[in-house]
Amino acid sequence: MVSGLIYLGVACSKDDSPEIEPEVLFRVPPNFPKPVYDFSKNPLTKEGVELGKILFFDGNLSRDGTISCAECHSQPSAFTHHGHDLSHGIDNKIGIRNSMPIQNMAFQKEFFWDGGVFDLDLFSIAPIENPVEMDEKLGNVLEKLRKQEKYTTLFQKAYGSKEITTERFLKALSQFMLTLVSANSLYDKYVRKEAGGILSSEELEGLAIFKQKCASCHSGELFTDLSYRNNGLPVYNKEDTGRQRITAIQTDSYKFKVPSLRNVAMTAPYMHDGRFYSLDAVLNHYTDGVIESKTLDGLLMNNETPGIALTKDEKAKLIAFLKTLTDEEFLKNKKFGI
Amino acid sequence: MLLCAISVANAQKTGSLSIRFDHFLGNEPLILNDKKYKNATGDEFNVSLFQYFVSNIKLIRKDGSTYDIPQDKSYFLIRESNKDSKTITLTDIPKGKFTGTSFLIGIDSTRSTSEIGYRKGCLDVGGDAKDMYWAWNSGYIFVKMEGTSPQSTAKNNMFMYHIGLFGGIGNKKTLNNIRYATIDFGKETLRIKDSKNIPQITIKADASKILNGETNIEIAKNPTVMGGPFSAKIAENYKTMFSFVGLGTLVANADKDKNALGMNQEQK
Ligand code: HEC
Ligand code: HEC
Repeated sequence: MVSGLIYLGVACSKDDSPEIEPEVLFRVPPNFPKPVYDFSKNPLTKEGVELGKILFFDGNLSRDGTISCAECHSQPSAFTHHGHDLSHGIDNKIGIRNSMPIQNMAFQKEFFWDGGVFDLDLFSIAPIENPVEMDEKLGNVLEKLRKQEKYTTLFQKAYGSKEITTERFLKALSQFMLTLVSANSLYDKYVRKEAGGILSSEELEGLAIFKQKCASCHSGELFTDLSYRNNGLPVYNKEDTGRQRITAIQTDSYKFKVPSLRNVAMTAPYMHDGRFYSLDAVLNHYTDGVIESKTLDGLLMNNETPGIALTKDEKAKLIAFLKTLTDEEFLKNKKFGI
Repeated sequence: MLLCAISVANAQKTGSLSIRFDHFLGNEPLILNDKKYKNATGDEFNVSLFQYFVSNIKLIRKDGSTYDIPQDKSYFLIRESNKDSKTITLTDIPKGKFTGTSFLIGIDSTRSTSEIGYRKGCLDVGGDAKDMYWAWNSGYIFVKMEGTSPQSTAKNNMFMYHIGLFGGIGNKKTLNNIRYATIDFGKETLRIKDSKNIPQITIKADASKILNGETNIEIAKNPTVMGGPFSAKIAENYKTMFSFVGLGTLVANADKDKNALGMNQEQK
């Protein structure tokens, strides 16, 4: 279905080297599962990705020109909103959820903490039209872009004609987001047995604890099974019933997407409402803060008291391990910025 | 050029059909904003907006077999505020006799989940469908009615009924508010033939059925219904909204494209 590599058509070669090294726009990391995004409907091109990136950083996508996607999704924080528990958008309005990292999007089927959007290509309408985020209408955005020669030229380059349509606009943003693959953390180098991939004994013990106590939900190489679960957070906002808002099924109340833990040391604050400011606080929740409720996940009810038993020493080792998921190459890659 | 050639070749075998939707509230014609109405529970209200999608249109023969309008020509957004949208034209229908029609009120699940490239014209979420789409819970709004009522407890005495939800993807089932309408022509027979006079079906769409029916909606208790299980009750109500008025011929119109607001036409 999807080939492992999507090469840029034009190859570039180093002056003194006879080998041709095409620029790779998207590559499935060897330790990753197969992507779920159907690239055949939106083949990545260098120009398409470039257009998507420029759109991602453009405040024109918001009503008053002040808020770009990058405002709440900034690269050094793995494309999250650094320092904000709830998203902070136009007119200083506050949303109900914590911003999510944009990474490894090609491997996800559903988006948002509640999975309300099922196609990356349909995603970008949501923040643009959210009254507390960018508060604009997609139709107006397209009109604004059509008036700028910069954009008619960029669309021409990406799609062969100047036409700016809903489809082209959304697919360009997808193209950029699809290139945001994070798979070069110390942990990755360790599992792929690459140079420099050596974990300390503390980190290795942390990994073992993680596999035993966390990986049932934060599973596989994405560190999520992509399901919706209630991990026992006390309810602060009764209105935000999570997955139930989408399915209207009572048993989905207060379930949220199991988040990936890649780059987790960089994505504070944590949880769907950003209630925890440190990984220590997260672990304290799992050991001491888990609240019983009708939809609390069964995996958190194995002990006398709900939650996960961890000693102080185990917590330190877990955190040491979680830090090996930080991917400096991803966070600093100039290709992803403007 | 190519399109011309095709229609000439088909000229002997196919004809066109027009469907007109007349909007009512009970037995009175729907007039936006200025007219007061009463629902079954006695709430007084006016209507500021009434619009819905019609799709997957079929023509039914006497023996029960059907002619299905091809998918790509079978999506229409009907708006009370846009007169042209209330008459739709279907072309290239095989000649024959039909005793009824049926259609889906809203958008089927296949198109609701199809890739963005298949959402043109009235399905363009950045264009004509912009106020008939939920971005945060991907899906079209099938039927939308808004207005004000002194009984409404919501802001500015508004009421808003935005009904959608197509049932979810794969095994991830969500509420399914897809409903169908079937219209029987009674004693009359629709004849599709190759002629200059295009036959027209007139259908009454009674907006009061959104509020009155199996569940009589009290505006005070439910001024805003969007997602949520209660929306299914409104869908059950409005599935009886459409009824047959009569068959006639389309009053000659200089610009026939103006009538269609289908998938492949942009709104002018
Ligand atoms: C005002 C802050 C803000 C802006 C601006 C914003 N986002 Fe977000 N983004 C968020 C929040 C908050 C979430 C999580 C929301 C939720 O689950 O309800 C999110 C989630 C996402 C996700 C889902 C990731 C996942 O793993 O499910 C993607 C993709 C995304 N945003 C892309 C974008 C794009 C593209 C833009 C610009 C068109 C944008 N965002 C603009 C705050 C913002
Ligand atoms: C029963 C499934 C389950 C188990 C077991 C579990 N988690 Fe979670 N985890 C979740 C869910 C669900 C969330 C999101 C909850 C929310 O925001 O409402 C989450 C959130 C997190 C977050 C916040 C990430 C972010 O980006 O906001 C961290 C960190 C985390 N878990 C670490 C762990 C660790 C470490 C363990 C093992 C000690 C663990 N989890 C065990 C389900 C689980």
